[in-house]
Amino acid sequence: MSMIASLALTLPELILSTGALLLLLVAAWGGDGSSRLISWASVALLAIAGLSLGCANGVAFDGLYKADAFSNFAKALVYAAAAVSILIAPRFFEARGAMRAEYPILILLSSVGMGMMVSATDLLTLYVGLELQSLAAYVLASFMRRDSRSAEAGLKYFVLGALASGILLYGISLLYGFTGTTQFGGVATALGDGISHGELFGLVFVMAGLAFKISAVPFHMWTPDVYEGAPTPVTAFFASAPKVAAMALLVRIAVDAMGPATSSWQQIVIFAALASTILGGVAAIGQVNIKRLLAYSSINNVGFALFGLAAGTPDGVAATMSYMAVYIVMTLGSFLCVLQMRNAAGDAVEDIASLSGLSRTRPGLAAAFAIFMFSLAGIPPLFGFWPKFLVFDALVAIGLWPLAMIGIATSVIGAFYYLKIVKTMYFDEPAPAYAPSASRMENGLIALSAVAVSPLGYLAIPLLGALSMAAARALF
Amino acid sequence: MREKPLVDLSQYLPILLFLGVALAISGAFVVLPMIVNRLTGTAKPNPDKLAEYECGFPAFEDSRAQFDVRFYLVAILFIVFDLEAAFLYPWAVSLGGIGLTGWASMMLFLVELGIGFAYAWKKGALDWE
Amino acid sequence: MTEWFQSLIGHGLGWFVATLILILMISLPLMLAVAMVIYGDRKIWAAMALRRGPNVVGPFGVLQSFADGLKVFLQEVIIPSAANKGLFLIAPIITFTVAQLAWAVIPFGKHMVLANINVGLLYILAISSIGVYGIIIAGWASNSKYPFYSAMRAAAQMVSYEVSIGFVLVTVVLWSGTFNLSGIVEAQRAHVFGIINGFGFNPLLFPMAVVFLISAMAETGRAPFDLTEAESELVAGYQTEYSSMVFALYWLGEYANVLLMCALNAVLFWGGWLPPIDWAPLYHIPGIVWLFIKVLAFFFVFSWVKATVPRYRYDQLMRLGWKIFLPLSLFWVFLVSGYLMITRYGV
Repeated sequence: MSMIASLALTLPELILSTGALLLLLVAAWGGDGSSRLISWASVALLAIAGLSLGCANGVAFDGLYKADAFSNFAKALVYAAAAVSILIAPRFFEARGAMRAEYPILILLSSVGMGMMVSATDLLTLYVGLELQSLAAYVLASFMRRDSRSAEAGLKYFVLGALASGILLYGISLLYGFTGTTQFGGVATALGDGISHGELFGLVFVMAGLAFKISAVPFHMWTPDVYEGAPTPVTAFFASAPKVAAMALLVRIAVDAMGPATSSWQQIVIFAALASTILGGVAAIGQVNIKRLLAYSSINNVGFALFGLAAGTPDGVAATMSYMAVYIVMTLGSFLCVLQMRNAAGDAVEDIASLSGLSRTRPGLAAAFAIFMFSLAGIPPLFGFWPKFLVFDALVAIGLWPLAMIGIATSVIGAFYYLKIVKTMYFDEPAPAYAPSASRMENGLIALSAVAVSPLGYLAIPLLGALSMAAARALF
Repeated sequence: MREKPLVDLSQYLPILLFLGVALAISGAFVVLPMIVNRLTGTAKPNPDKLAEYECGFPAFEDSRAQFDVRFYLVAILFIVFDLEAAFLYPWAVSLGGIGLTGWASMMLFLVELGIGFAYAWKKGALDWE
Repeated sequence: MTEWFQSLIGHGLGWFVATLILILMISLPLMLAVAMVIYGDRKIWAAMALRRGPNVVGPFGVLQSFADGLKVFLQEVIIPSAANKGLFLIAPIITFTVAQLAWAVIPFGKHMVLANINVGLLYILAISSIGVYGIIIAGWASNSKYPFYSAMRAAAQMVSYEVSIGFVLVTVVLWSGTFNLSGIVEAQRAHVFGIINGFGFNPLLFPMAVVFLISAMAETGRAPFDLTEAESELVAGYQTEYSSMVFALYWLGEYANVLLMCALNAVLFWGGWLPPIDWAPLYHIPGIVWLFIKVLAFFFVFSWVKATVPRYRYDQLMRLGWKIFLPLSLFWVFLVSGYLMITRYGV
């Protein structure tokens, strides 16, 4: 395959990286005053990159990179989440005098990395993509560097992220050493004729490193601290796009590279899924900070998504991808609501107690928040129920119904703290009212995501089902 | 026929030997004077002599003090550009074999780093005053 | 020689003894040369300031360095009570060891090289970047203000210029197609108009030769880049707390490095052990003599600059390194590789 054809397949990444580099120069010369312009340009770039996804299908660079239905599905989600994170940022940062032109550029670079991750069919492409995503994310976490919590979040994320990258790289080198190749296909061939101890260690290390990136238990410790400390738009970004990308990467490497060793990684995934749902559900109950609570919620939800992968079937993978699609809408909606939590002076408040009686002071916001909470809990009429159903359906289909039972039980535990927030908003005495919302765009985004996860979302099932099934079929 | 090994490791043995000799010579230059001045009696330490250097008064600042953050910046920039140079070496020796694609890829890489460099320059990372 | 020893005392031992002798034939003359160039440096410097320089010990003062050596050898070794003793003594050992070690791959003539490794240039780079540890450790272990500041400055300065040196070396490697220093010298044979030996005579590489020469001065901390030892600000820099022979080790190491940089200038750009012109009669003079002449010429340039150019300010130093040399050498990599792609590899 010629160089030009390979480059054509990577068109989305080319658009984003070239655009990000040009915008970087604009940012350097234009200063922070140009940040609004750069934000809109970045969103436009993400849209163009998203549009260019349709025409890409094939293997590029001699098997280092692959554009298929699976990667396109994941990239579409990633780009959408990234665009929302860029759109909600300027108002948040400008209120604190901390808006910088680099914010959208870092998100763009991170998106390039995530695109590489989901398209990687080689362990080294995987690693490069992952590092590009992570390095941008470390900076984003400490974006408000004068704020000690933000700086702490960045440092913590960096140190633990570097550790996880090290573990992952160690696993990669073990796999390379014992299989003699870094390509997913080659690794799968080597694993096909029996798995050696060295390969098993490599597999476990790779799984552990990736579990860190999706914050699955037992590699979740950084999540609450980083989510709490990072500026809210950044937290919204962390909870959505990188989760999708890392989950897609995990799915692809598990199916593509480690397919013949399914029985080996299945136990790991089942353990991580169970532990994440239980711990995410239980630890969230005592939280008083809404961002920490949402952090545990994301751990919990990642656990449910992992159940789909644990099934190891095309149906299961399709369920995982549908889950991530619905999940990012719910989580972005929740964080948009958190962005509205500002006291009369305009300062952000994050404690759950301040939500008391929101239904009387801001009925619209309370209704939207309640929809997101119900949906995250997976309560039937709302759309959040559907992917959970798919996931458990996939488990039952291969006879893992005890696991499905336990999963359903844990989702009941999880429902408790979501409902507690709804109770606080609707039945407690009103706390001081929030400052009125000033942004029509944010209200629009909240309304849009609320409609998407409301029962109206079921109208999208044929489309979502077909896309996620096509994505899963691309792997098997 | 056995293939010629890629690296002739026997050529490195003299370097190892040289390392030993050089360490011995420099070690001797450090240790011998200490022995000699024990023997000749020139070693007469006293607290004032052993105090850290200052212009006629006791040092009043901790020498393990904070220093300018720009030194860190230089260190980071050094890592970026030295690594870039490290990427250039294998490319430079094999330029004839990798053709236009290899050359163009590296030039793209240089342009990318050039953009990063321009950004750092414009942001004042290279200014010292 | 190796064969002769091997026939005498067996294969392994013979090789060992022969190599040891070769090493000492580099190491000991190196120290002698350092002593002599210190004397030469002082004489040149004095002459340029219309002074006499050392003229008491021996005829014309040539034995001055040896007298100094004996003196420091007998002096007391002072280890400050606040210093980290182990590190304090290790630092000069590192400096002087790596200053010698780099000479292992320098070709003194055709086939006259101790270790003819195929990545000689990378070896030089690696060894010379270890040198910075000697200085940083010295500054830290002294636990004193001035050495510490000086060590910070020195580290930042050395790494800054190492960056542009790296790119300059890439241009040389591009042209010669090898990292082996003998190979680089051979590649310079009849390089310009088929008759002149030396990359430096090539108009495309001459600017890089200049950048390398200046960077070499900065890398070795010689005037006008001797900010690490700026007496008026930092007393004696990172050597402030050192005394006796331990102090002299830095002195020796510095001059050994200066000589190394002179030799590298000669090897990389000016034909090494080749005569300047590719003309048969000139090859009757042994290669080592040509190399020697070139090294001494460069040393004279180093001395000359030291005597005439005032010291840079730190911001000027950094500006020269980062804002002039780095973009220039980066651009030159593009230029040289593009030129070679068109002319040599026919694209």
